[in-house]
Amino acid sequence: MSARAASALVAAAAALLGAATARADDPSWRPASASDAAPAPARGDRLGWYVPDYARVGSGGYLGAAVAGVGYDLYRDVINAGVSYGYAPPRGGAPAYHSLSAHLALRPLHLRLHRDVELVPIYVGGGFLRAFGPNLFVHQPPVYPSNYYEPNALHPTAFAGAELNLLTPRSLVRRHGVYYEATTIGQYLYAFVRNDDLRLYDAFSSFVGYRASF
Amino acid sequence: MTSRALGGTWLLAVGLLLTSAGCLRTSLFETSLDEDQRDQTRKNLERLGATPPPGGQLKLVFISDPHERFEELYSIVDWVNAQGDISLVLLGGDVTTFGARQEFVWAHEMLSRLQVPWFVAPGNHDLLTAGPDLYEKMFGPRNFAFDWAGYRFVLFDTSPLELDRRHLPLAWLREQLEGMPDGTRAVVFTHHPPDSRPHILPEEEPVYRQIQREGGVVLNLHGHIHSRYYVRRDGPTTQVNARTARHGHFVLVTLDGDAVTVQPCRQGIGCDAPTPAEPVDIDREWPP
Repeated sequence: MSARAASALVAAAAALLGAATARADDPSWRPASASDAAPAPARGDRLGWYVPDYARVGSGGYLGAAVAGVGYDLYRDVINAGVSYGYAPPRGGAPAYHSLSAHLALRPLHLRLHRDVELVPIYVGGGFLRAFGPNLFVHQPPVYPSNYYEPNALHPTAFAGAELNLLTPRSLVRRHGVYYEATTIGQYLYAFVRNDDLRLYDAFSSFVGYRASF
Repeated sequence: MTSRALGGTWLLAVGLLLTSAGCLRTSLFETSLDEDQRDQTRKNLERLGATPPPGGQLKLVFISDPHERFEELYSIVDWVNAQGDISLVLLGGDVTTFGARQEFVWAHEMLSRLQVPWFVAPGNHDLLTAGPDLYEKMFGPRNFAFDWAGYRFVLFDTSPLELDRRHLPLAWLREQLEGMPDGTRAVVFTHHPPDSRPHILPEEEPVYRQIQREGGVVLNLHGHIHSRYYVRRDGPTTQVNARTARHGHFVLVTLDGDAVTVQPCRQGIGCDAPTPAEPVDIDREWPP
């Protein structure tokens, strides 16, 4: 990765953080293109704190062919925190795969495109992935000397995504969202940063899904 | 910008991302490879068959343990391509760190730029995660031998532990060496040195070395130990540890009949003078 790309990433992260701070601090924050006549997306713990604020399903991102998870949104959906379980069946010689993951996402921008349509044009986040399957371990088998291997079942993750929401504030599901994420694991990201010749998109996997916000 | 234009721009951006930002990878066990990424051992054997054996000396490069430092590996590839008199490149494995698909793909991307035939032995890191399946799909059998230019080159897997096994396939190795045509010498390239624990059992090490000494092996190339380069003579067999390509190290080997000359090299610097082989006392533990 060139120094110029690194600077651009840092600048983008700073801009996102600034926008997030502005949105969280200002309850009247609304993008210039938003319609004043539109109802604000309903937020808050309508169902109680013990009920997650959203549930999601999806596929890809090294998490599984079928992924399901729940999470909470904080600061008017600027921050999301959640957990997921994923499964990929045996295929093409690859064994069955299970994953547990936790994620934290920063979603500073919510743009109203239409009365009932909201766009989260970009969000970024990270987390951890615990993978389960043969030949994967957190604690290496005892046959090896100590610290022989780093865990290959536990990986930090990073992602960037976008989400398009249909607002239905009067129903149980207040927002129906479809989203796309580009997800990577720490080892691939490190390899990309370490090697100028590698292409960024090779380090990422797509993740697509649906999210229901309550 | 109107909301419609904004929405259109966003959809276009997401569309571009969907088509370019990697495929949908559902697990760390994924082993799908494109056709050009498969069967590298067979494909390079075909290239080798079309390459006339050199008259007299045979020059080859041995590289080991690049792990995730693909840029250093590429620099060595560039160096090899610039020489013009190198016939073959052998790798001692650990071309990945976690044995995951994208690491294999990146390693292949660098190695496929080599203008001479190349062969990869499996390293222990290459056999983690989805590595065993990926290695066989991308390269071929983990134990393999071929004859070229008066030598039998034996690619030998020294990582039984990662496959839940305890013993080296020594019977297979002995069979390859016993079946050589008259006058043929052998070059064995592996990941681990013969004294590498825990992969090679203490009771197996002397047998392994004896098979090589008595089997016409003039050269055993290996890596695994990142910090040490050495050349040792174990009877008729020269043992070479290449250090790690992570830091740009590799070795240049010249074969001329039974004679073996080894030069340590480093990308960006070049090669040093040939290293005299240090004799090994086979009756004492090695290394002391």
